Amino acid sequence: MYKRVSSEIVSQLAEIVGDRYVANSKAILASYLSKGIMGIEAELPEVVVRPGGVDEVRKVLQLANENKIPVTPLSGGLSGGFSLPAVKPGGILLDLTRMDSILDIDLDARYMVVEPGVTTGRVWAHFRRNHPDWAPPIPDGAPPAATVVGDALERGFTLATSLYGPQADLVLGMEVVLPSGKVLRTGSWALKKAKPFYKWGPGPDIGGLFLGAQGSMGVVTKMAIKILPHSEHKDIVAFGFDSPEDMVNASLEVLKKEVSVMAQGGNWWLVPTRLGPEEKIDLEMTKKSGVPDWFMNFELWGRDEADLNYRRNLVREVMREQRNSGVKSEEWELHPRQKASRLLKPNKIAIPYALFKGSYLFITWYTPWRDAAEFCRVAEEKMNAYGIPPVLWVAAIDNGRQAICMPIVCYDPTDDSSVEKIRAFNEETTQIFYDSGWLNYRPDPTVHAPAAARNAPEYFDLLRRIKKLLDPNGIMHPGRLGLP
Amino acid sequence: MAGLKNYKKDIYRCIHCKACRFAYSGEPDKSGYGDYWGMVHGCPAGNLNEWEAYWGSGKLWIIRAIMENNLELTEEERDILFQCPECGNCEVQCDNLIPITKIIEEARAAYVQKGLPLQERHKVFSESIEENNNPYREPHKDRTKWFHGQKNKKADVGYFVGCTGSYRLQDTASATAGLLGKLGENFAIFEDEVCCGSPLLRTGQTKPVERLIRSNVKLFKEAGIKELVFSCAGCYRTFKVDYPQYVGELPFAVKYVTEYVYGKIKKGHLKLKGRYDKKVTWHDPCHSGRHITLHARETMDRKQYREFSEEWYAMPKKVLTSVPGVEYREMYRVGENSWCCGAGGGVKSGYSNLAIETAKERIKEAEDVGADALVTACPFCYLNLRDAAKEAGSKIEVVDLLKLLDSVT
Repeated sequence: MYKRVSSEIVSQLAEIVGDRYVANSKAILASYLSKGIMGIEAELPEVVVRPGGVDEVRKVLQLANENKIPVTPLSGGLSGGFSLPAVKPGGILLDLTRMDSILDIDLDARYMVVEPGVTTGRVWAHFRRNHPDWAPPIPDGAPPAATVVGDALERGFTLATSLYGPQADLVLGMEVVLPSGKVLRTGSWALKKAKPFYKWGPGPDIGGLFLGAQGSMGVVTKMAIKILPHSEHKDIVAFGFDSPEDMVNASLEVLKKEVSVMAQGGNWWLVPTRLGPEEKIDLEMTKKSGVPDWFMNFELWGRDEADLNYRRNLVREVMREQRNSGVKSEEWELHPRQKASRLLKPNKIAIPYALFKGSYLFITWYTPWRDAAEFCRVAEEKMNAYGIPPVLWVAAIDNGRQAICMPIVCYDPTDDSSVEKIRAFNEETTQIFYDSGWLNYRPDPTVHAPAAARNAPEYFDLLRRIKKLLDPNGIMHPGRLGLP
Repeated sequence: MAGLKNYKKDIYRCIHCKACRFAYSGEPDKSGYGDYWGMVHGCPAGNLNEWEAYWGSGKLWIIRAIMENNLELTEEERDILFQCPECGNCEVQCDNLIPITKIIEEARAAYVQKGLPLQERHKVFSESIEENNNPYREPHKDRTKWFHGQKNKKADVGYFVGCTGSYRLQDTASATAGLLGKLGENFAIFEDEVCCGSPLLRTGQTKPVERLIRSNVKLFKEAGIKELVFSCAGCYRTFKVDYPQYVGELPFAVKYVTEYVYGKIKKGHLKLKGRYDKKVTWHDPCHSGRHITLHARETMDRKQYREFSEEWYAMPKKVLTSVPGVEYREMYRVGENSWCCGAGGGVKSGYSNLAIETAKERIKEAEDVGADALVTACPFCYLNLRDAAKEAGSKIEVVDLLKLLDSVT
């Protein structure tokens, strides 16, 4: 169906971006592979191209389109870590890391414009140095090499998702290169003389077609995204609970007060599984050391100390009321070092889960907040049944209107039976979770996307037709979202 | 490939988070100056070549592909795997504790074991060491020619000069010997000292190494040496980290010269008479810095490791700042986040452009803090930084700490 990348195509790519930025050696192709965290299945590309600007992206897409060669865009970091081809032949991997400029920061309209290769670590340092009262919406928990654009396109987390919603909700405008080579701008930016100050354009929100599309509709080459007020007056107030029900129900009452930039927690398994190899970790010791069975951290940012105190007191007051009404909960006194590691942005908290068994997979779902407890119960039961340590992480989106629930599936990548086990776990729980009315984050091509298509036939029918319109030859990241 | 298989679980722990690209990947809030702020690049090979293959994570995925028979080891892979000064920055940044440096060395050894062609200048190492006990094609009989005192004498303290000190930087060797003499130390230098084996170990040529190790250990053991002092960071690292893997616990203590001098200064045994009225900065050699603290990390708990690490990196700076007149300026990337000089791991001989470009970056960093002198205590760092300063047309003076100390005592 797709054409292979011939040596002639490689030469033409080199003419577009320069010899130095095209590679098809087997070693370089192999170096891009990634298995774990976001998925365990991927194909190798046939060539990697590193364009330096939008015009080069445009020409690469035109060439690929004319020759029916798949293109997989990769922004650079972990949030794009699984942006690898989903089909064979793998075609062109468009590595956008060279496009790494912070193009504009507008402190009045409160947005920044960045290219896809801007990493969270770099943009964070830029703001701390130049605009300390403002924070770029970087993913929380993702390592510093993750990118702002990659995370937003995947509708991932920001450091303040519990207050402002997923990162994609903060996007005001995008510059997108379509497979035809045409360059489109979304929102107010669509107008020739307008800045990207408003998400909405003259008509429907076209930008929505590219957020969550996993690169299947076009290549985003610039993004305007809101920046958030930032303060040095920060704290974490944490509470322990006996059950996921108490955690979810009591936390909801706090979340309704809309005082926390981030509320996240889960079960006690989150703590020991990032400390070291399974055989060296004393799980009982972790329990005895005071880690609650279930817990929720509320990250608070105050405008000043008085405001921070107000927020702390409010959270504690709500929790007191919850205890009075029968919830089993206690405040969990975190060590200053634990607080500091949580407050550090961007941090590497999510990285060391590979220590426990060798690798891990985040299998992430959205639920209404109230359903998060049931999600935890089902996931815990199934993880135990499959012999997987039941590590569960839960966080609030948009003040608890929704929850993000994530089994952190620790597995041994050197053991085929361990890999097979998580595949089976994913298959079974996907069915259960869709039947429960929950939604998968970043559906993978082999399990989630086909199930999603079965569960939302009309939605996928329209999506396929839109895709056909934008990408008639189906070259953009084919297969990844279950689309051709 | 047998050696690599022992590291399979480590190799497979890479989740491609790419923290290994940076210095201070865990300190994005870190304040700095000029171009240095927050996390900055920390991997010389990736920094120069830019492609994913050259960063720590890319190399791990290449090695994984080789182990899964999806990729063959050829000269193309060689030029990726060998283009790495083995500085260990990637390993420091890796929160999944992957021993990347060791894995790269094992991959190089697998390449050599397959009988594939080495870079000509790497091949010379083993040929010359076999013939002369040094990689420089110099006659063994000239090894201690620079030293005019009594050789092979009975003493508690031995000075392991190393091949570079013996044949290329004899003034460093003389300064070290001079310093030991001024300390009133009864120390010994041995004509039968042979190459420590570092150039072979770093370039995957492991086969001839055991002879060197056994020869050196036998020499110092039979001479009754209780403490062996090193002025070469590479030799010190090899004795400290590699030797015990071949012969178990060493029958003598090993001390890097900065640690040794620091101990003497603390006890008031070293009198500094002269002055050095300059703005000075310090470059941590990887072999006496990160390689030693990473080795310690394997056996210490987190608290112990933190404390050891802090003290270890502070020691040479304390020695340097004890010199009257020194106005100390700290570069941005220091301690376990230090930028490498680029010379290690066979890079200076095999991939000189990478070595020089990496050192130029360090020269720039030193210039940015207004230093007149960039001081270090490793023959390889010294030579490479000196070459880079010259090539860059920098006015900065690259100074050997031992020569500086010898001149003020």
